[in-house]
Amino acid sequence: MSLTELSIQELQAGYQKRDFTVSEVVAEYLKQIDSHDKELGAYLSVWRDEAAAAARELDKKIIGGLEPTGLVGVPMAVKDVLTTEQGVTTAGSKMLAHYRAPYNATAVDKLIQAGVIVLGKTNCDEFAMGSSGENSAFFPTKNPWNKTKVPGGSSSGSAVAVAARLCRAALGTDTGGSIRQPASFSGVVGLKPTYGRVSRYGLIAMTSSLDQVGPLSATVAEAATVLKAIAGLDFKDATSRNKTVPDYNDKLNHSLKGLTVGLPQEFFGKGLSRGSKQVLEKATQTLGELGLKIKHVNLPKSVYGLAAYYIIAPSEISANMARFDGLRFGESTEDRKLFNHYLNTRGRWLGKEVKRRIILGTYVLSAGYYDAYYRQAVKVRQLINQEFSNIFKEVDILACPTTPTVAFSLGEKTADPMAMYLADVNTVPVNIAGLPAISVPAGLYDGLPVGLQLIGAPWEEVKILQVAHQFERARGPWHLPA
Amino acid sequence: MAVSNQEIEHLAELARLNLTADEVSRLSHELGEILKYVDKIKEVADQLKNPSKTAADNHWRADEVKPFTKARELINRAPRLKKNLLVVPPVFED
Repeated sequence: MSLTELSIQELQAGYQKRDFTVSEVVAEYLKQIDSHDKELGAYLSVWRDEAAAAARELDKKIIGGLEPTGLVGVPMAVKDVLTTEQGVTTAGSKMLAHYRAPYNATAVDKLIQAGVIVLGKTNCDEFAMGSSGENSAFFPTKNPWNKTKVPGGSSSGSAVAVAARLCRAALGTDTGGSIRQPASFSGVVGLKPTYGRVSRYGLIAMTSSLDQVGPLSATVAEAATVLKAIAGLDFKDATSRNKTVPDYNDKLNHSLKGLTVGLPQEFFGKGLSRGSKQVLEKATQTLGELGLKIKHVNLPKSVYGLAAYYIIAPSEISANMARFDGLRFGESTEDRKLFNHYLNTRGRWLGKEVKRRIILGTYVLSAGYYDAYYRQAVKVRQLINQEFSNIFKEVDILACPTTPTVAFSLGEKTADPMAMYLADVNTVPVNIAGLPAISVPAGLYDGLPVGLQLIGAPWEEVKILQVAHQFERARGPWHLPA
Repeated sequence: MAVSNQEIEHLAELARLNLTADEVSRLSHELGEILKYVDKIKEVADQLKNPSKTAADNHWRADEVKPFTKARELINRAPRLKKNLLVVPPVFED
């Protein structure tokens, strides 16, 4: 058996018993990347020498008595919208093709301090704007289950790196579904924590009121381990909150008796494909068998989440993208006139979807339209918040499909932005309300993974992790694509 | 409800974003499609009884000075530098 098949827990047991070294494990992952990543396109940069050197250092420490626990010696990958001192941080954009960040993102720093070996930076839709990975300014990532399909986005490379065993776990970011949707399409676990749970310091901002950092991994227990390592207050991110970070892994096997799961009918409606529906029906049945009480509920306002999102997100994007002025960092033209310098720098190095959202955001914020769009969207956001907080008085968690369909074909939706946006219809309401949610593989339809999304009340990652973990065991072994 | 090419050009100017003629006409169509979809928020927005002023609660922390040691590295990212100053095209012209 290849070392890349071993879970975090198994890796550490092996390090402890001296069955293998961190260097051997890292070498095995690098070999796997060499053999498969040319075709898959999961990585934008691989830190070959640095990873090998860090592994050697760690091996010395383990021989010296360092206890291999937590994330010690775990090879991980980091989405390229998170800054790293090592290498370039591109955000999947030509604008930052040569950008070297002056500091590590807090989440990355915490991983390195925990003993993680970072293998490299993963591909993503440009500035995390997209649902298929096809908006990467460099190359699209392919779905390892079927290479004619998209892996989902925007954390496309992180999802595929985990699915194809090109790393053990990865960091992604989720603004409207960008961790959960690619996790669902690529058959891995993806966790979007509560807004404020993980510091966004060093995350290149897209929609500041929605962005959140989280893990993608092969199993729920591993997502819990990574979350524990990256969560917590950080004075460098004013939106991070001082909340106790529980030992998630210790609680995964607690009894689920007495918990109620709500099934929101709107998410199982006519948009849900027949194949996904079959898999999801079996999954909800499994939840019942685990001792959860099933309750059918309605979330009529959440249906408007996607519409509110495509006003709120572009508004914040048009402001956040203003920093790319070609004066302080990134690419730059040689124009002698300031106005032309702005126009041409941004026109030349920003991609299609980024331009689309900047223009849309500028439109809905402009005089005469602000009241008609932005102000209304903020109201709908509050309505959705109220609706979720009311429903969590009746149920402990919600369960629904992560996405309405399985992975679609490369190129299928690139000409129709609205069709692409609709791929996130089930994930966006969660961000709008700042809730935690996880996508866990539920089964296959037509050879492609179907994800089950579990949504929790704010700060209650424990509950969704418990249910996801026990669901995962009841579902049975999950075989990643060969 | 389509957005005219002229409007797109005006928005592009506001956003300091050069667009080709092709991009302008494509965006005029696409924005129309997107606005048609997002327009549906108007069906429910008015059901909100007590709109609050802010999207989130405020959280306060002490206003303390913390040292930041990487100012030099930040400045070094600029495309054009003269000593430790950023070189930019003239803001005011005669």
